[in-house]
Amino acid sequence: MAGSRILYWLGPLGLILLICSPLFSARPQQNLLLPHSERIKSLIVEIDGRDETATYQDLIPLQIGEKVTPRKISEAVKSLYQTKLFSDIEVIERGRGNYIFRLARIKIVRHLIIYGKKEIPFRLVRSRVYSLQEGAPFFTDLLPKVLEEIRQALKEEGYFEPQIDFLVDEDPVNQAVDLLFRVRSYKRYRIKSIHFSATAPLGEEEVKKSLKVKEGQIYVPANLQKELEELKQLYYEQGFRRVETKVEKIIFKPDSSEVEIVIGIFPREKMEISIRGYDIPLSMIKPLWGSNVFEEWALAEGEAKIIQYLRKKGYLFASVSSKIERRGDILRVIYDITPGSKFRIGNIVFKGISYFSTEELKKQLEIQSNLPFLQEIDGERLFQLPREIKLFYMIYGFPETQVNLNFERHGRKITPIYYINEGPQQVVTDIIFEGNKSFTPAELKAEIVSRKGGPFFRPNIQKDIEKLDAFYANHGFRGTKISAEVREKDENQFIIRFKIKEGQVVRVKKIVITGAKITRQRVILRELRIQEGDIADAARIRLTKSRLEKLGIFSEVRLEEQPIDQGEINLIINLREGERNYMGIGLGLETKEGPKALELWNAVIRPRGTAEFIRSNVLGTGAQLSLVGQLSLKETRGVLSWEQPYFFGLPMQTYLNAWLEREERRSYAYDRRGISLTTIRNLTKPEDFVILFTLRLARTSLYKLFVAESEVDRQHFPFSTTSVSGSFVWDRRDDAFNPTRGFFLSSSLEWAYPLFNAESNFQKVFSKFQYYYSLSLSQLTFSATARLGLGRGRIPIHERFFGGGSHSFRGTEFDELGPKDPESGNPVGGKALFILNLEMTFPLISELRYLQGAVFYDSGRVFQERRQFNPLEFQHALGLGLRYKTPLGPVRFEIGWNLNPSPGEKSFHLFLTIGNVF
Amino acid sequence: MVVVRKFYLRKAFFFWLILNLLIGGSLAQERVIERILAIVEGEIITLTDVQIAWALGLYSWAGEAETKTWREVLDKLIEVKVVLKLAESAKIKISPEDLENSWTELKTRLGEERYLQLKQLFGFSDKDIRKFIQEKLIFDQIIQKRITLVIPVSLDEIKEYYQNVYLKEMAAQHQKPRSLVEVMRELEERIRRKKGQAEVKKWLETLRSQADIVIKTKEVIDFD
Repeated sequence: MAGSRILYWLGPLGLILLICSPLFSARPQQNLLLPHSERIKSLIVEIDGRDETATYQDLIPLQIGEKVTPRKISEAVKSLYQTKLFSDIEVIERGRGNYIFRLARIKIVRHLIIYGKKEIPFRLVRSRVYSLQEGAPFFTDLLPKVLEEIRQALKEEGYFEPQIDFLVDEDPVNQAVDLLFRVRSYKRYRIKSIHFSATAPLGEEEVKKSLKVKEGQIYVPANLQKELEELKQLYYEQGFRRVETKVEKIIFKPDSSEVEIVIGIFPREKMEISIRGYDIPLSMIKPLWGSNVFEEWALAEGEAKIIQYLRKKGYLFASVSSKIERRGDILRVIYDITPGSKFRIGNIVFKGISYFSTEELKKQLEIQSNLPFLQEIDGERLFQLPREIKLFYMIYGFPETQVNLNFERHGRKITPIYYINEGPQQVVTDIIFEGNKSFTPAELKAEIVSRKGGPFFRPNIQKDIEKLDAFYANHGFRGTKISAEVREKDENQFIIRFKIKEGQVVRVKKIVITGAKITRQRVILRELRIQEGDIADAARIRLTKSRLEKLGIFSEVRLEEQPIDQGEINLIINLREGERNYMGIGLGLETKEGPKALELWNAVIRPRGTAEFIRSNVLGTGAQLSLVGQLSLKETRGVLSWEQPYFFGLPMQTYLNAWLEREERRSYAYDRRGISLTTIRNLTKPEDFVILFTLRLARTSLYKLFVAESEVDRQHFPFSTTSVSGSFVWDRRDDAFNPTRGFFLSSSLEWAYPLFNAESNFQKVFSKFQYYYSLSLSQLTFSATARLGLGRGRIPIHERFFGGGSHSFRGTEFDELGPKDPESGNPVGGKALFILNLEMTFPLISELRYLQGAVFYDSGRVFQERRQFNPLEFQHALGLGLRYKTPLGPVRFEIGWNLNPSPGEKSFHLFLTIGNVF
Repeated sequence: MVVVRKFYLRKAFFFWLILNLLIGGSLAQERVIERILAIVEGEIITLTDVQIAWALGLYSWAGEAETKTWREVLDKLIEVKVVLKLAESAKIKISPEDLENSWTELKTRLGEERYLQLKQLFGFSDKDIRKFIQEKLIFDQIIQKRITLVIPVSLDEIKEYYQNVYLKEMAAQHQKPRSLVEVMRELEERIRRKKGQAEVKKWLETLRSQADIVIKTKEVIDFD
């Protein structure tokens, strides 16, 4: 019995033992949190609560069976953090030797919404939240800071002691969080009284009247600060340039929800600025004399500005003296100017130079070459040039160059003479590399700027170190340390010794791509310029990043290197897919003819509407689908486009377009529908030389004809065109919309062949060349454009060349250049076209730098047949214009004067348009 | 019946015993052995970093009050990281001799046995420890430079210190105080050092307030 009782109780006792067994299990006595086991038995990776071991185990630089130490685990955590994929990392030991890496993915703040009662200016409050921002990583620990920022922002807007609730709404699928802050309650105060503590020379009543903040209004600290600034400005304009305004005291009365404000105004002395001897705009000097300025500095600075101003105007030998007079509360700043005579600056002469010729020096200093009626240099730069020359010589190894400026006067013209004492040149006699085991000195020398026998310029050494660093990185080295030592071997002869501590060549063990939810893997993989197993070439890694960015489907592309072991890294490609849908609506005006009247129905200046919808990254392929519609009184157009970055595996941007259009031209109106396939290939980097191939099928019906039917091939109505064309574009302009330098060359050859029962059978070639040249000193820009078009075969009217109007020949109306229909007098186009445009633009008013004047000369003609081409029959036009520069090109108002109009044509034409002529 | 019951009870007992022996020691004992405690300018400080610093007593030298709690050690490491970021641009170098001397001093302070034990426990090498020491030396150098900045001490301050501190000190130690003139230089030095330390503290606070710091945990981790 007793035995059975004992056995009876042993069960529950055993159970208790089992539950409490961990307390009795053998473990080492220790007072640190250290792993129990020496070897890793299992390794699990949990990301946001899900087991992702299969995918992400390679990110952990530990292996099963490996001996584990706290340091290794700590290094593993640091290595994981470096991937910038995770905001939090924990390592848990479960039992002996079983390790779990618990990772929390970095989440992005998708929306940050602050809301509450409508009266609160939430947009303003949100703009003052900096700790967490939409699109930036989210950290829970920053929430208190954000709350504080919101409280502070609300306080500034007059909402005191706000009670704020917040909610963090996580979206684990998209790794995003939405933050919601609700302003539940707050206190507002009314202004009971406003007093001024210090003297107000303008009178308290006057000051109070000028303040927008009034007694009885709600107290808003931000508004009060603004008002104090305005008050300061008021005093400033009265001559009190050192006035200080501040809130001295605010007394809150919580019981009555009122505040009493005490404002201090400290005007200090009244300042008068007097400039005698020449009319200098005061606006140039006034800003120097703000509050708390160091008087000596302001005087000297004022003198310098005045002299600079006068020299620019040609008063090369002007002198200025300044002083301060104090009389009671008034401080007078006086500038006395002696402008001297005004001079014209002749061509610059350099004397004493031997290392450079005068032409070389002028070219390097960007001094314009001799041009009649134009100065090479202005008065301001004349005196700055010695410093520029010295700096220039230093780069070429002449640290002791002396430059003296002298003048030769011939009446009102002076010739500036720069006496240059070049001094000795410092040269690099030898370049030595130490510690380079992997590359020869010759290979390293080819990378650097410094050259044996070349000039010695100390800043080049830092550049050389950076270039060597990049060179090593591009060959897979990491951890390379490079320093340089310079030794003067003899006088002005230097030896540069580069000390290289080579790092280690690392290879890419694994490439991990994260963040692509929609984009297909192959779309990403084909942009990679580095593969697993390759050495970690930094240039190829950068190229991979830029290729991914160029796809235009990611809002962020980040590549991080995660060191995992000796000589190995993981390459983490972290992508964030961008918004995929875009919709736009536009309203504008179009004009093809000159501005005669503004009636809409007469349609000289016509309204035009545009709507577009774009869907990018369609089906995750990186392709884009867009639909654009344009509608005006004279034309309607709808285009459906499919754009993709590759063409049958070749890296050629490809466009498949289908369009419907209807347009009314001078001589005809047509309906056209068609499809085209275009591929573009960039041949150079930067991408200024591209070639294009287009295959086009189009069907055109003329629904209105304003010329004799004999001009049109009636038996082939409607007209189908099947054509293939090849073009190239070489664009070396500095700016596509407002070019001032460079050139543009394009040429296209189209062959329309009667395929698929098409009527087309013609060939066309069209070439355009533009050249821009700018004189920076005088801001003159010269430009020239030549256009040549030739056609052969049966070319329907809508495919012929037309000329005339604001974008080609400004001596006729739109399309009016060239042969006309004898019955109606409307243009019929031709098979040959030549147009030449020469133009010069110049500034008009220095204060309005976007406004320019223009003079132009246009010449050319359209010929019905190629054989009729005759330069003697060209029409010529001269003209003047006004331009206003905008980011999309200039708005142009021009008058063209046709020097040899055709009979019945008028000579003068007005044009109002946007965009360059060419 | 009794026999059957005995049999089953015995079986149950042995079952529990075997189960206990098999899995008792290893059952579901989950412990966090590593985590991120703080992020300073994009670099993390882990639990192991804090434990190493605490165990080696790296930031308890040079007359500073001994740091005991994990939070104090963490704060110190945050300060070090912030200051070392500054040092990157200053390119401060520690001579091999200073490094060697500090390393020897550390080993002497800990004792050879304890030093080896800690090395084994944490799994770091002499090279790793030298790296920790180097960071500490750079930190100390920067702090020292700030402390020894020319800080003016006025005669009034010396006089006040003499009356309010020195005399009381001497009285407490039952020693005869020397005259103001005799101790002036010594007191000036003391005041300058104290002001320097206050200046450093203020400077560190400013650096900290400007740095991008996220402290990831407020829980108490008691590993004492």
